[in-house]
Amino acid sequence: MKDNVLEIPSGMVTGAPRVELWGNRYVLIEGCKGLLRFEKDIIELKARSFVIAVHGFELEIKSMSRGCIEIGGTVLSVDMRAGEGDV
Amino acid sequence: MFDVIKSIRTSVTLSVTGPYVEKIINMASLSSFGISDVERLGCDSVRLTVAVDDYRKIRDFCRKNGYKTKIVQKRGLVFKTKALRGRYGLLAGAAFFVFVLYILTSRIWTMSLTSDNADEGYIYDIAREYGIEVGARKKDLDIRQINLDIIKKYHELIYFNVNFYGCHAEIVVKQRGRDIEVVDESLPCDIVSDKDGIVDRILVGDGTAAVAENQTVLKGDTLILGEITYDYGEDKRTVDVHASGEVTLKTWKRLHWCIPKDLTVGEKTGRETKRYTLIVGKQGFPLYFLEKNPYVCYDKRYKVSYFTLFEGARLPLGLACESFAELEPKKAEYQADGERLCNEMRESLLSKDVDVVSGSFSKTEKGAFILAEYEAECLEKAGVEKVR
Repeated sequence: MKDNVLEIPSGMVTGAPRVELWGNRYVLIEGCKGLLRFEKDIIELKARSFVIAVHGFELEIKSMSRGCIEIGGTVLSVDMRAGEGDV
Repeated sequence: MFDVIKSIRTSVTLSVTGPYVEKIINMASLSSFGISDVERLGCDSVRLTVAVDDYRKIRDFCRKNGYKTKIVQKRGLVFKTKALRGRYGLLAGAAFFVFVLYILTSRIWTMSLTSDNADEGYIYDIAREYGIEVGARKKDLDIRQINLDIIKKYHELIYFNVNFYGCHAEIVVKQRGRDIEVVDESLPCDIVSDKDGIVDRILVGDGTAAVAENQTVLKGDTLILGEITYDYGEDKRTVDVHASGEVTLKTWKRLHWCIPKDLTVGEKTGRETKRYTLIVGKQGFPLYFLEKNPYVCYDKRYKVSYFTLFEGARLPLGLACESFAELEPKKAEYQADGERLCNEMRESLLSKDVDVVSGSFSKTEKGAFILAEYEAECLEKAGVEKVR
């Protein structure tokens, strides 16, 4: 049987987090489980079995609702690392 | 736009101080509280904005877990109106302003007349008789009924209407020529000639033709007789009617123009001055100190712009601008172009509702003047009603 017959992105079904970057001023992350660390230069979020870290300066949370977070400021990098964190 | 919406939406900005403040943010997002603009203030404090409905829940949660909260800013329409609650003078002033605005905008404050040939004073007198005047309440005027009454009473008016633009009333009038006597349609009348000429065409609507085609008529001659004779053999009966019809006369007109060869024309020097006047109602308040006109020879243009609330709602407040362009008198010679002169003379006749059939033009120069003569054969409508 052929894989991905319906051509739906696999992440939509499995609930994997989705990261959107609009230039270096705005990041939208969907599917995160909670905030681990919030500083002016780093924001760490828990997402399933890994941690998403947004590095930059003058970072702020524009809005936050269940599973969705909007981050503003000057973004330098977004990286992921494996690991569990306590929310 | 976004800022306006933000200022109307009610929200509270508070600072939360305590160990691991991320806990509060997580709790808020899990509980579906709308938090926004979260900013780190220090190692143990953040500033966040919440909707006013969620504020109490977040405050209680913070207190329960040992966090300190402090309101930094309250934003929104509710808080703004609350702040004004004690200011009775301001509220009374606002209410008074609304009341005065309502009173002022419900009345006529300026009037103008739009008409080709009507006498301004006469029309304003008629309007005043029916209550249309400065200071009158617009609601009290039944314009449709007034229009009908005026048209019925004043036969010389064929159209009367009032348009309101905010507190400005524009009277639109169409008037018959004032020299034409209008006879009530129920009265018998004749149609008599108002000029000399030869009858070119006669169409009788009601009555009996008193003249034939190609017959010469003088001013005052009866063209259509206001009676109809019924012939029943031996019994002849005559009935008086209100004569109607259309009579076209062939007339001749002669124009003499005397034009000086040397003319003085004003040439613009390029210097221009503007003066402004504030218009309140019908009163003008000059915004300048000079009383004299700025130049010896000038071309003056006058323009009034009224302030409007929105399209069609004109306020009784305007700004008049007088612009003076300096002119320098200069001698010029009139270019005696025969064809142009002939056309100008012909057009001056056409403007008087006369159809020019043919014409002859002649031009002579006499001393410092040009003498032009134009003879035209015209067709024009004739006939006015006259009570029998």
